[in-house]
Amino acid sequence: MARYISRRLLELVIVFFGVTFVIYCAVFLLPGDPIAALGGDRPLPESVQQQLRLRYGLDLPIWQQYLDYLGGLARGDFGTTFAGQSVGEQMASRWPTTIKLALTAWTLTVLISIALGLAAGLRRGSALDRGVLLGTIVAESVPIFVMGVMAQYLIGITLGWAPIAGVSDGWPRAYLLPALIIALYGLAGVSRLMRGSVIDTMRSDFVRTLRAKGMSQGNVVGLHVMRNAAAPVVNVLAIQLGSLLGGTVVVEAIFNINGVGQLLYKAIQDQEGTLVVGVATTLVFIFLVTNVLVDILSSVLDPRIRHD
Amino acid sequence: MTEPATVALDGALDRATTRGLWATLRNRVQFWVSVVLLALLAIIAAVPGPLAGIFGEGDPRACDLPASNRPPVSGHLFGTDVQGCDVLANVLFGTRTSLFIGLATTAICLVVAVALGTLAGYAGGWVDALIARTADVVLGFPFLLGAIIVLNTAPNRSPLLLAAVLAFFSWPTFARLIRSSVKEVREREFVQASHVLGLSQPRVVLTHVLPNSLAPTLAIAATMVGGVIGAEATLTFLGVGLVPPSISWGVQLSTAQSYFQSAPHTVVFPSIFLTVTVISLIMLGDALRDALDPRGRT
Amino acid sequence: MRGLLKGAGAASVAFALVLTGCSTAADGGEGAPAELVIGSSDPVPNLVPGRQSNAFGLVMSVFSPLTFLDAEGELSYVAAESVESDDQITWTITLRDGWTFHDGTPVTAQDYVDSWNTVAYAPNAFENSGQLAVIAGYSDLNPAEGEPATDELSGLAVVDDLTFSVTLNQADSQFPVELSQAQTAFYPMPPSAFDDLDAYGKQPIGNGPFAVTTGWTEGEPIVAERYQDYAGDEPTVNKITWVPYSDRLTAYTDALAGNVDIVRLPANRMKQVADDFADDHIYSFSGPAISYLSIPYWDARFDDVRVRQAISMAIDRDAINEALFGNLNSPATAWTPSIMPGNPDGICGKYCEYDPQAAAALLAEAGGFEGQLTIHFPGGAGHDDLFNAVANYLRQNLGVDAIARPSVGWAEFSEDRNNEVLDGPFFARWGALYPSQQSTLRAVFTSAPGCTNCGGAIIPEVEQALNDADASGSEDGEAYAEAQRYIADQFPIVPLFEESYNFVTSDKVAELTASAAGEPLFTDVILAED
Repeated sequence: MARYISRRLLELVIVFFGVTFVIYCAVFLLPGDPIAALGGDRPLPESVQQQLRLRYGLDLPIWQQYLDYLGGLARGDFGTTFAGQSVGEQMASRWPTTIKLALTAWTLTVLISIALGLAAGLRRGSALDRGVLLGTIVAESVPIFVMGVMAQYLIGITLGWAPIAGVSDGWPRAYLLPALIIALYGLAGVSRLMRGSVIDTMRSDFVRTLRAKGMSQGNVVGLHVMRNAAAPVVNVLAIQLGSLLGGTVVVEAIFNINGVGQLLYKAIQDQEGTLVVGVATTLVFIFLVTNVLVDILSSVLDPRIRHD
Repeated sequence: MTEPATVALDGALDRATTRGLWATLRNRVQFWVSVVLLALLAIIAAVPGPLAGIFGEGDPRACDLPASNRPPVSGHLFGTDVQGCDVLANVLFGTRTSLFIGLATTAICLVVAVALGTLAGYAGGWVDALIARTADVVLGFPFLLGAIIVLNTAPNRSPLLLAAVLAFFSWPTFARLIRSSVKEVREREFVQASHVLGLSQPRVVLTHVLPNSLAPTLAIAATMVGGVIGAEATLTFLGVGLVPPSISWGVQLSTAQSYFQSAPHTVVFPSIFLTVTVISLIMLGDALRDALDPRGRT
Repeated sequence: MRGLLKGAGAASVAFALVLTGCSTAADGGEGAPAELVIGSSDPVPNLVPGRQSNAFGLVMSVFSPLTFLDAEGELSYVAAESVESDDQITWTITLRDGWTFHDGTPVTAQDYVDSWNTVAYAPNAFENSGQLAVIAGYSDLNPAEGEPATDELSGLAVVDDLTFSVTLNQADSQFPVELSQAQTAFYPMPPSAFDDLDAYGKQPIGNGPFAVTTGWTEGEPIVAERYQDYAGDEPTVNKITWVPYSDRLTAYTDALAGNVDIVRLPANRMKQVADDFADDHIYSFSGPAISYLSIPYWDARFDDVRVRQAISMAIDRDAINEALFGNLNSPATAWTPSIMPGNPDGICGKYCEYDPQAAAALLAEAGGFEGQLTIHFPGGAGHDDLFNAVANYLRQNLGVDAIARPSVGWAEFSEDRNNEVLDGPFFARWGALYPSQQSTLRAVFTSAPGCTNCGGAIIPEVEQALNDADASGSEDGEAYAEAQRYIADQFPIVPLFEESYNFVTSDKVAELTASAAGEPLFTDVILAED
């Protein structure tokens, strides 16, 4: 086990450097000149642009820029944007918002999909089962921005049940609606998995034995089916958490939530290289670490999975 | 010498799966509904112009700006969009692009995933590890960033390019699936038997391992086509997808969403088509998967 | 000690109230505390007046300009008592006495000179430094290569505490206008600012009616409150909060929900705003801004003037204004907006009027158009509908294969434009900071710094006419209109729309007034009675 973990961690480091370097090159190779664009349609004087290029080392070869960046990173310095803002500060102010949003969405996915999956699995073939299937498929099929904009107008403006912009109302009020929209997209998969899991468990020999012994339906479900069925679902949910963080871009844009998704999207548009690399790197890092943790966790939980 | 034995083994197995599959599918309403809907969409995609012409305006690019965002009337059954173009004609023409992107993405993705997944599952060892870590990098790479870089360095954002980009970011999930099913099939008796009978490795893979791993993959592929169609719309919404003069539901929706309140019909009609298409594909995939997995049969 | 200070503060507040006779909500007796919440949808990286480029409303509330131009183009003096010159080259600026910064230090001529030197010094890389390029010595502080040898503008000289002189590179009759409110590089900074300009950029100390009490933090509101010792005209409100939004549409949506008092109207809501807000909550100010369809002079397909004129005539500006802008903008009839003094309205003539048949005939006469006509515009800025409409008109009326293609953002667009690689007509726009034809014509049609490559091939007569006008010193703009005659003849680019700057307000606002820069004056907002 220890060997497996250390091997995965070593791979993680290699993948990490690989991804950051690729991102770094990609951003700096994008067509366009971020310095020339700084003033928008009122461009900066040539001398000012030149000073900025010097200041941000844009005249150096790309490998040197990357090494300088890594050097700064080692000192805990994420660098600054071309407009002079600290990348570290920007991320520090935005990450909590996105993490809150992602965790809320994730919790909603867990709660709703387990409930739906359980209900559908226990009443397999019923109208309820079909309804859950159809409902989750519809929710997943409508593009997220269409759903977001519609929810904003219907629930936010027409009904006035939830704020439609910003997070100034705090958690949970301001986060629920956007989180629900994000959660809708995980429902179909996870509830289906849960349903299958429940059906499998219900059919298994030990559940049959328990029921033959006269255990009530409620106890069987509560004590055994839930626990057995949950194992594969937990695995998927854990992976989903990692991708949720990066997948909030659209919802953040619609609901005016100043999270990292927004930050990344704008940074790409303005070609703020250090900002893009900083945000993307942290996203990749979280994704990789979650992946490793999930693999380790599942091998601990399920001894059938062996890695050596 | 050995040929007849394997062929016989093979044929028997294939016939059994095929017959069982068809027998199950034949009786499912879900299957027929999705097949009929997809057939209709295929017809629309084949001849959008004449079909739109029946309902009024046959040219999606004949636009009259003063008639901007008008609600449905006869002649413009779905109304007009912000540029005063016929929404119905655009929806019908969009069917072709959207279906093309969905199918092309899935096809490209499958080819890559089958190749890499089979290789990883069959070879194992360092090849497996290398492919798995590459998949990690691709999955970990922010999709939006990747899409923007590729889509903007290219001179023209064609539907094919968009399909290639979408496929590039979706192969890892598939490759993992194929890898694990290849691993499983490899251990089965009949494959072991082929080895014992002295068949070459690539041959065993091509004739036995792959066909048996492909079935579950195809079921998910149908689902994926639906997901991709939605993804194209979202990319377009973010400003990195297709742009006019390409006509797609994504382009329509991303333009229309800012006029959602004053001209809801411009959002509603493309949404209905998009949703119905995605649902049909997902239902088809679902029916296929159920049929393939005997335990899941109702 | 603490008690003593507190007492002193209270006394000065009371004193200010008595002094100004102000009895509005400041005393807390009348319900509404005269507060405004403003939605700002542009990022605020830095509030140093020499650096800000999208926080005009805020900086104009925290600082007071030397001169002020009202919506009618009337010039008045604010922080300056006079701005005078005999030869239009050397100007003497006399400051009003008794003005202080928010930290209590008096505003002196030296502060102005120090501030302007700091803004102009290239190694500081201040974004608005170009506004000072007219002052003698600017090029010494901004050499083409390497570090500048000096850090002081040779054209500036302090005469006494309240007087300094400014020598320009060449005669410029518009200089007093250039000192007006939107050219924020001319604002003064107190001595304390120079110790830590980064900190100052987050919480600037100005000489204006409002003092920043909660400085800038990423994603958080900025708050400014009335500066009690302000020496100029009293503002009508006591407290202004700027709430940041990710974009204008979200800010607008929040205004619909009643959470914010003033927001800028996003372009794609112009059509709908009349349904969303009552008439007296919508404000449309003519701005000193104009948009063009620029022509790539490096593409030989556009060499014939008739091709450019045909393109102009094939576009139905009125229909676009109606369908996309809710009639809030105005079709352009000249190459500068009509708000500019002496603007030659209608000089574009029949070529700015929609006539599809004549357009097609003119193009045919010129020999037609080969290949695809791609219109380029920066993506993500809300120009999509406009340029798709233009492409539709060109396709349907001229029979050319026209498409509109957005770039990723400004970075890509401006590089391609500067490097002359755009292969078709493209978006151009100039929002002037002071309403004089000079500002727009210089930026777009000459080699002076501004909108690079936006004005088509440079016409020598235009540059000459502008220089003559600068020296002639007439204030009616007649001389600048002369330059537009040459432009109309050569028709280098296609004028599209004069822009309006539009705002929506909550019930709290009874009247919003604009300044000449099109930006509303937050300090002069008249609040509703209740």
